Amino acid sequence: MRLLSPAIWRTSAFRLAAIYLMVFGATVGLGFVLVYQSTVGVIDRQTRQTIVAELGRLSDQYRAGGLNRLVRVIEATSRQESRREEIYLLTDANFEHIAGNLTQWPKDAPTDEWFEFPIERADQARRAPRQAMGRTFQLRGGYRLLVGRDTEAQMRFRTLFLDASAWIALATAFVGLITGLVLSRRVLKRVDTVAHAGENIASGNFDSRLPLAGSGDEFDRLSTSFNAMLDRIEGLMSGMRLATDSISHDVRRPLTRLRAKLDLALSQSSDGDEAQDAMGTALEEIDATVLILDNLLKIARAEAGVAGDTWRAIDLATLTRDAAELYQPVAEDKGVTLEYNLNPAPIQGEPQLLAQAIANLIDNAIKFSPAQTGQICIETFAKGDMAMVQIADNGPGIAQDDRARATDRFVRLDDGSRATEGSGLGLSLVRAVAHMHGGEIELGDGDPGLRAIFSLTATPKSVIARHPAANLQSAKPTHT
Amino acid sequence: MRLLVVEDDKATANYLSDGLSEAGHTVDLAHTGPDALSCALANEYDVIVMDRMLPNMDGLSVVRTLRAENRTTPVLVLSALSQVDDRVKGLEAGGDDYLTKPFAFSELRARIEALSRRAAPQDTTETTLSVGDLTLDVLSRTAHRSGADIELQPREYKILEYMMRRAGRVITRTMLLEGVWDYNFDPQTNVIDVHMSRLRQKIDKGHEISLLHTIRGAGYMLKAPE
Repeated sequence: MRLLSPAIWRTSAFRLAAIYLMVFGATVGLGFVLVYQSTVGVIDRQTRQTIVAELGRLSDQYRAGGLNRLVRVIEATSRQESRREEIYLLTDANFEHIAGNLTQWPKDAPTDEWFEFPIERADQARRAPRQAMGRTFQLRGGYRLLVGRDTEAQMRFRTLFLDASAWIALATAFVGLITGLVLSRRVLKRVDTVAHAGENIASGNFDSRLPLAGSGDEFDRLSTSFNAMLDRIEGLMSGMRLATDSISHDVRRPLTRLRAKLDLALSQSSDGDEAQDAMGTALEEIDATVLILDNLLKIARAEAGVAGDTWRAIDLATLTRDAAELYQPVAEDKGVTLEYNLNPAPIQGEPQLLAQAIANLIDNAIKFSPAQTGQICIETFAKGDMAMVQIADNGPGIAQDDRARATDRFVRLDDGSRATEGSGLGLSLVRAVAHMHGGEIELGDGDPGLRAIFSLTATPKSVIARHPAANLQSAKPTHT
Repeated sequence: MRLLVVEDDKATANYLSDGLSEAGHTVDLAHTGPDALSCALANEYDVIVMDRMLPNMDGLSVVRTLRAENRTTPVLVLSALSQVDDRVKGLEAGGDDYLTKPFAFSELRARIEALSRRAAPQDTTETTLSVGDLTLDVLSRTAHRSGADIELQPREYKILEYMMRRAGRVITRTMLLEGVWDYNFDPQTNVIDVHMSRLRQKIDKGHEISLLHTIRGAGYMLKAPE
């Protein structure tokens, strides 16, 4: 059950619901206080006023007619059925009963102060003591007078009122909490849908769009503007694709003619012709140009890249072994030793681009290793959900400040330490391929030399997005 | 060989036609998809060289239509599109080989020749290959020359097997990279040449007759003197 997942507490909808609940609760609480004041409070005050008036009346009687008159009045009043709620007690200085419907002076009754006390009345035997409120008054001659009211009914009302208030408060809190949770969940669900769709798109499925609920609410408005942005991105991407395709096509067309013409001329020229060398060089230059064009396109595609039909399950160890076998004789000729530690590193990826990236790294390592004493350590391994290739040489390395720059396009670090041949696109391609596979190329200190760590996500999100089962075993081969 | 060259760019088509005729082939030219299709259906060619982008009808559609008509004529797809997936699409459509423009003429010739033999029935079940006095046992993966064992690294064995199955034909560096390593990119360094000179050391050293020849400007050829 996701109802109480930790994420729900963090949603703004839940926080809003909680704040709403608090404000609502405070308002209801204030209402209760006001109602309490105007019911229980008013009744209380009236009771006290009556008692004070009664005390005044009785003390007047006493002043006017003495004790006897007071006793008569008290007894007469106590006997009236309509005044059963009224309590009277007159005692002497020793708290002995003289008159009144209360049998005993309450314990610890204060003088001239309000107090509450249980009562057992003289006129009728009650099973349980009742609650009463009263005030005492000391008369001249040591006599004491108590006037009170039976407040049992009031107390019951007060208890009922407080109980009801507590229940209402509880129910309000409960309903508020549930409403908050349900609202938050609904909002969270909408947000989740949008977030998942967004992740899916970010991982490369630029043709998918955020879903609309059709209600035109704020989420729909958000999704609509996101979708408009995606349309724009998709337009730009297909524009870029079209541009690179047409550049590729339009540049290749004249180059093809040029190359064919040169090729034909070269084959028709006679040996020893001075122009032969020039033509040969021209052909090489054309091929170099085409190679740069190719690699630039590859980099552009890979940086914008997503999993395509050519992706499949492969082991970086196999790719690395193949590439190393290709370079082994070159390394041996230079007196450079290749050491291997190839552990399985399975990955979903594009075999050709990965192979080229690894070949570039090995090629670089051999180029920058010292002749005769060069040593290159090539490792592959799986680490967490990453598949890694690590290539460490004992060449001059790259200065720390230049390492980040080394993978930029066309950067050649001409400080002499790692003077390069080629177009300077090798490491950029490696980086683009790494990005395409949810990874990175890191250049570190090999102590001495350079340690290149090519790390890739074993199953990039773009693969999962494209092939939910992530089973590319049956994908088409790239080459027959 | 009789070839059909389908190329919409007239200048390129003429160069191709001239060069291939000079190499001793009979060349028919077509400049549009429909033309190419009617030519290919009306005649028997040894190899069809097909440009991928054609007016009216895409080159790959022509190949698909041919294959749907059960024409097995080998097709070499020429394309200005060089990316990995472009290549895969070209081969999926029924192309037998894929060459990116611009290309070396020698590369085109070598590939056309390699393709044409494919059309002829080839005994792939053969377990012993031989060129002159060099023999290769496919089952035990061993090579001998004049009775003497030749020790081969696994990759050297693969190169030699690839060459022996195509003995007498020019094999280019990119063909070796594709055939032996499955690489469709140029490693830029002369890696293949170093491999070949090692292989030559192993099979030709100490023998009067060389079997592994370098074809200048094209590649290599394994061939016994006639």
